[in-house]
Amino acid sequence: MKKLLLILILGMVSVFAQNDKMIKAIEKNLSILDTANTLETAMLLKNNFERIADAEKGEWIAQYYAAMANATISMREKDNLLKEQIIDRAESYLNRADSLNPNNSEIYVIKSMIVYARITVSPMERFMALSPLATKYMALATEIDPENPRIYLQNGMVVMFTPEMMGGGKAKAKPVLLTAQEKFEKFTPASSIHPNWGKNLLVELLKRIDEPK
Amino acid sequence: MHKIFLFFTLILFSTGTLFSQTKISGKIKSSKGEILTGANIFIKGSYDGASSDVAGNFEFTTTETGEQILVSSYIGYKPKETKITLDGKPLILELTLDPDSKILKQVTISAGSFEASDERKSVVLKPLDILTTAGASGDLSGALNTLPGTSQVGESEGLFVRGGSSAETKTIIDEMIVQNPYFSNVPDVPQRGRFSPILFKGTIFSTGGYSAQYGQALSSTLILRSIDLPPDTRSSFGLLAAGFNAVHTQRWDKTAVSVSADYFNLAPYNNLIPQRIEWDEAPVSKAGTFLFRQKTGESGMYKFYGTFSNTQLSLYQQSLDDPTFKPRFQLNNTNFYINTSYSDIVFSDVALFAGYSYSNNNDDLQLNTFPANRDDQLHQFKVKGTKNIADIAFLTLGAETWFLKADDSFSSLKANLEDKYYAGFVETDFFLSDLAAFRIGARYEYSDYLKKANLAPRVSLAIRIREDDQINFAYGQFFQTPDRQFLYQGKNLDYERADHYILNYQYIGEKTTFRIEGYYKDYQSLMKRNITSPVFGVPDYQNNGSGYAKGIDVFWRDRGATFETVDYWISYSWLDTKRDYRDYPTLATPTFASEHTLSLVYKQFFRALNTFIGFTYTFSSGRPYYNPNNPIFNGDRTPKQHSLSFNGSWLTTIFDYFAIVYVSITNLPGYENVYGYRFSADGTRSQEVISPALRTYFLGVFISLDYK
Repeated sequence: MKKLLLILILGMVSVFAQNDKMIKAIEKNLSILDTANTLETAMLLKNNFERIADAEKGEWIAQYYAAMANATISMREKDNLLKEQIIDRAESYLNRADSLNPNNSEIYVIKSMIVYARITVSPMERFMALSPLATKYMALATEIDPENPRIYLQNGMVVMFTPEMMGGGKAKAKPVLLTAQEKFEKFTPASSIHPNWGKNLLVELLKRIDEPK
Repeated sequence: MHKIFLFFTLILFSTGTLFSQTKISGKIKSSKGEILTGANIFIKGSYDGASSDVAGNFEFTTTETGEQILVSSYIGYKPKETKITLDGKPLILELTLDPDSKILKQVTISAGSFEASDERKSVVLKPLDILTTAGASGDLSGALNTLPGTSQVGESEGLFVRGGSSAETKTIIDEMIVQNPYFSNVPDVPQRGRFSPILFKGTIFSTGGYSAQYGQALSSTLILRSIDLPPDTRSSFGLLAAGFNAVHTQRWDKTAVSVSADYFNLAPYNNLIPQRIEWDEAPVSKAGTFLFRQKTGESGMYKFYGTFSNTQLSLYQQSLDDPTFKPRFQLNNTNFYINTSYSDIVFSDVALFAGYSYSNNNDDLQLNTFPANRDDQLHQFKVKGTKNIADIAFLTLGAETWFLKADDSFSSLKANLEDKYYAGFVETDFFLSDLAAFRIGARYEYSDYLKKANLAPRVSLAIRIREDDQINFAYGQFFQTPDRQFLYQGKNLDYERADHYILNYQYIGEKTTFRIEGYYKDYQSLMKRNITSPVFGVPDYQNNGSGYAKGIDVFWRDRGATFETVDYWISYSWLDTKRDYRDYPTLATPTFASEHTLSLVYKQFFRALNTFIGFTYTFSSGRPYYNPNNPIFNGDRTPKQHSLSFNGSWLTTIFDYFAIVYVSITNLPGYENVYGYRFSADGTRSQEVISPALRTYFLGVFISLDYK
């Protein structure tokens, strides 16, 4: 009996230790996430998150960040073929996150982000085929959790970077981003490593909207 | 006490590695010596690793011990695994990564071929191009007819390539031959292809000099690769001017199933749009399709595609010999087709493929008072394997066999045949660094019906001149079993043969493409009617026909280089061809060849309006026709032909569902094109061969039922 208890305790200790190690590692990287403005930091984060995700294949949060970091990098890549490879990578991490934790609002936001990244590879050929898919993912994200501020952040960004003559622009983006701000104020993540990014980005975007041309 | 000791020992064991840290540092470069910044260098399965800095240097410490694998990866390069031993002593490593061949601008073997793909870099077309080309109305061959090397033959379906008839072009889906790629021939009414372009992720249209993996086509092959797993679960409903279509696709992690149904009835459309032929019963068509995909393991893919369709129609023709007589043509076509295959990668570098296809096509005809029937069944088995040899060569070996059973009747006359066809092929692609590529192959074929074998060598060479341009050359021998009408009539027949010589220059930049290709095609042992054979009774055909085709094809494409949202291409073909075959009395240009053909395809995307529009203009110089009053055989030429087509698609929402509204009009200005003339037996009366309607309209609304 004592032996059994010991084995149980030992087992739990190692599980907690493992989990703790991942939490600490993710926390450390999250502390620089919102300030990752240079490509070098973004690459560093991507590499760090990928290592955690590859070692923790059963943890959706680890997969989520590796997907998000790749999706972010893909936006900066100019070579379309490389860009597509990075998007594929983001998608494979995200698919794993999705199968570990289905019907998650945060995952759908990244899914939508990935579709937009694919559209930017060749807007003329892909916009019509893919934009409904991006919209569908955002709708699903909202359906699951309308309080997720990143939905409004992402939507606001899409509107903001769509030219004015095409129904976008700063003026139209502002109310969406203000909703994001409201949601951010009310938002509390489930844990220290659950998705909670975007506040700094939002402040940055709002600043750009308000600055004179 | 004892147990507490054990506990501590275990704890120490799990965290005790603290006592043996190893420092790993070094530099990472590409195999060409470029510094790689942001590469990921880490111990496999652990968190321990680092990113390389701007100088390519990296440094980290790990608590792992013993034999470990160090992974270094960088986007666009092949990831590398290095075995290392961690024992506390610092490790200093010099790492080099090789570029990923998928990313490299490789030399591509491209003489004679146009490729549409999303996956490869050096391609001329994208799969979507086929859907958005005006004048094609979403039909595969319609879009390919805007490429150089094709002749515009408005009265008939199919691809007429470089002086070849449409029977000289074969369609291949997932390595398997398609016996009836088009809806059954109806006099003067060109038919569409049976397969929707959205099924395919890649298309290679070879206008000559194609690979030894394929055979039985004197001129050209159209090689289609179907999509693997559809992206997601979706349902859509399409309402078209003449019918509807419904598709549902269910996607699981590694599995997908898709079912679709189509129904078309052209009667209301034909009543609305003036028809120049006299329909008795307008075409009514029903079709159902089932598609299944299963991913197995890391790289295995099982595909199944099955389709069944039925088309019925009837029309009246005009007899030239007796103006009061209108013979009636009635067709009831049923077509059943299965294509199934399995592919996988074994021993890490051998790609295996095995496939089976079956088709059964039946044309039940009523030619005025005479019943007629055409029936064919084809079973095909194919296996092939490709081995990567030291990353510089790919060796492909394969074999296929076809069982053809044909059963034809006209009134009380009956004919049937069975042919067993066996083929084997071997082919090697060599890549001499990134400067040149070389493909050499041979194909052996044996037909049980002909009791003859042939061995066809094929060679193709590509030499890179600069970063974006290359010179290509191809030579090959191509054999084709004569059409079955000759097999019924002739004795001791052999294959028809064509030899291709192709030389091309190609430039593929980021947004522009230019290519110019010259070719010579030598036709031998074509079916030719023996002049001494009796006028009445069974004609005697032998393999003593011959001919040639030579020409120059030019292609220019600008994909957003001049104007960001404008994409256009220009194709021009010059063709000189003559043949002495079938019942030709002498060497003459066939009726399906025009000397000059020009196509201009324009596409523009208006993102503000979510609208895509396209125009296609085609021109071709007159084609020959047979006039019994002219002593020169095929000495007359039709007038020049022009056509300007429009298409537009608009993304919108209907009842909150996403929808695409699609409009297309072919021959917008209404040019009166004459494709040829038909003469009465005595040569006194003639009739123009024209399209069934001056303009063709297509209107469709496709609604995605799940994108709300």
